[in-house]
Amino acid sequence: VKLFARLRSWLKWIVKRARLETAMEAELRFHIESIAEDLVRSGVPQPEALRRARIQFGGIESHKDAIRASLGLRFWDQLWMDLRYGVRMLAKGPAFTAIALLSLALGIGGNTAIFTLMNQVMLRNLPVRNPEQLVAFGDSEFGGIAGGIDLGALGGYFPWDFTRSLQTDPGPFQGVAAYCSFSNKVSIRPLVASGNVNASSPALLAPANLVSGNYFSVLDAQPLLGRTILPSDDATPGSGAVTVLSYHFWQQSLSSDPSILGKSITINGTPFEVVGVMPQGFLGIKQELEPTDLWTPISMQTVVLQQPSMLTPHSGLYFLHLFARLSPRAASNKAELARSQNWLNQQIRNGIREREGGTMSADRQLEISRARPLAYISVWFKDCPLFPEFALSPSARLRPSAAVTGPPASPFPVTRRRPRRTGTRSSTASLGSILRPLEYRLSQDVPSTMPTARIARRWPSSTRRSLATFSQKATRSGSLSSSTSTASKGHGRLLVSPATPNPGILAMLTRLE
Amino acid sequence: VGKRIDLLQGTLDMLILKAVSLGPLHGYGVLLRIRQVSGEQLEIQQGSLYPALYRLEHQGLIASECGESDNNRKAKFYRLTAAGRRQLHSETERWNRMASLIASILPTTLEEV
Repeated sequence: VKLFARLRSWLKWIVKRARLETAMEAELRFHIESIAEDLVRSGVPQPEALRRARIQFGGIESHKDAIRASLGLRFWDQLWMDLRYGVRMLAKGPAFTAIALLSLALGIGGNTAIFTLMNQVMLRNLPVRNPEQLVAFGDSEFGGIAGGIDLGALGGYFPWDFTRSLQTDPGPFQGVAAYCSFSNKVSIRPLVASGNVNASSPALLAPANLVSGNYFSVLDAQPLLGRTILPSDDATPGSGAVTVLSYHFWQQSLSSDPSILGKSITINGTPFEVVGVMPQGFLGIKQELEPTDLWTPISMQTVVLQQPSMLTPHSGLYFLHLFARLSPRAASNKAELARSQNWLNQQIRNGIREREGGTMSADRQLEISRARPLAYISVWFKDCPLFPEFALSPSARLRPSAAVTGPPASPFPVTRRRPRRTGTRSSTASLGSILRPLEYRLSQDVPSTMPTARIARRWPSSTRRSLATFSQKATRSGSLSSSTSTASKGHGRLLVSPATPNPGILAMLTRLE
Repeated sequence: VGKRIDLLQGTLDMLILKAVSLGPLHGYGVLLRIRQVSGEQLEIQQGSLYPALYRLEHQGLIASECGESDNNRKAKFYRLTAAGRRQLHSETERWNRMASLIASILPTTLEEV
């Protein structure tokens, strides 16, 4: 009760200070006059009485000070005076004030920016079960994805049949899942009740990502509504027209319709059943400039990408990224991790041999089996300062660029900003590779042209020719796609992906030739 | 007028509460009442009266309101609040215990120990 009374009293004194000061003065004067009156009554003449009363009582100001001190007001008074003094001094030196304010603003702004980046790359963990077990397969020691930000050279690309075989037999991993290396924009129309397309409603453009049937289960990402995509959806190319929506798309374009499940939308003119909605935090595995809004099975590739089927054995189209969940032992034990890595290397060797078929010379065979390591497995961020293989092998940089690797990524971008990679190879140390996304952020339109240049540099003329052919095709088919702007955006990446034999493997093969 | 004694440390608050408990008073009135009730024996330092009044009001033990003095002048009158009454009660009890304790100790002689 006392504390409450005190707070109220302080508040009163702060708010109604002037009035209370006047009342205090009046009260003290009344006291002096009362003394004087008593003196007059006892026979002292009026002026003399007042003088004596004043002397007896003492100075009014000193009484006031004592009262203020007893109330604990001195602290507030002094604080207020200091503040006023500070403001006066600042007003006196506008140049100094401007510089001080500017320094503060820049300092705070800079810190916020760096922290935002660090928070995503180093501090944030994936909102999935045991994120430290998740790894990505990539083609460079410093590349990959951390905190949803692409850190190094473009991640490893793999052809469909190879990813399929790893999905069915994940070896020492708990699971291996694939997703298309880019999300392309698709044209979407909701279906009206009758099941027909509502032709009067304008089509929406949204980025869709192809994912393998076990994509969500390997991540262990749970849907907000309905279910995620299942292996059965992705079983047969051409079937499995289902889609899982992002929270953002569901909310913005479908009015958060709670009964959306089971309804259909058309993607590039083909009806897809909506089977689930992901929670707000889930934006896919990699941060894109525009976050993915729909996930569909890889089996629906022809519809979603509007490209001829890439889902044939030996298609030579490298357009999928791979990530995996390590066994709990491998996540904590380096020897076990090395075992997983060796297994992956072996799978890649087998894949190459299979592709080359009987045409391989004995020398080539030998070289393939000698080249090592073919893959780096990178562990998600939280677990290690950077990527464990650096710590293990300082000579990582000297390895053949053939290595297929990639670091891990944190799927759930916190913000919708996302730096793009241009794919320059990094020879800087770990901190450098973390900071690099900043510089990309500054030149976000570079990437779409970059990959081509890189391909041209890295591949022999025969490959370059076939790339050129493909790129013409892609350009032509790009004009068919629903959105020209996306077509051109996605297209730069498309060039890399489908036409590009896995940069790692291919680069190695060509070098071996 | 006999020799006046100064207040013991910490007793001013209690005396003010007591004085005010007998009926609302202005500051000067508090001074007069304590002097009068004590048979002109107790003199309150003028300098400590108002700080004590304001402190007690700040603590919510007394409340103030405007009123008219005997000579028909406006003055600030203090009265006891419910919290002040409880405080006065407990202070009185504590004082009585302390006083009787001290009183029982002081006459002690060596033989009694």
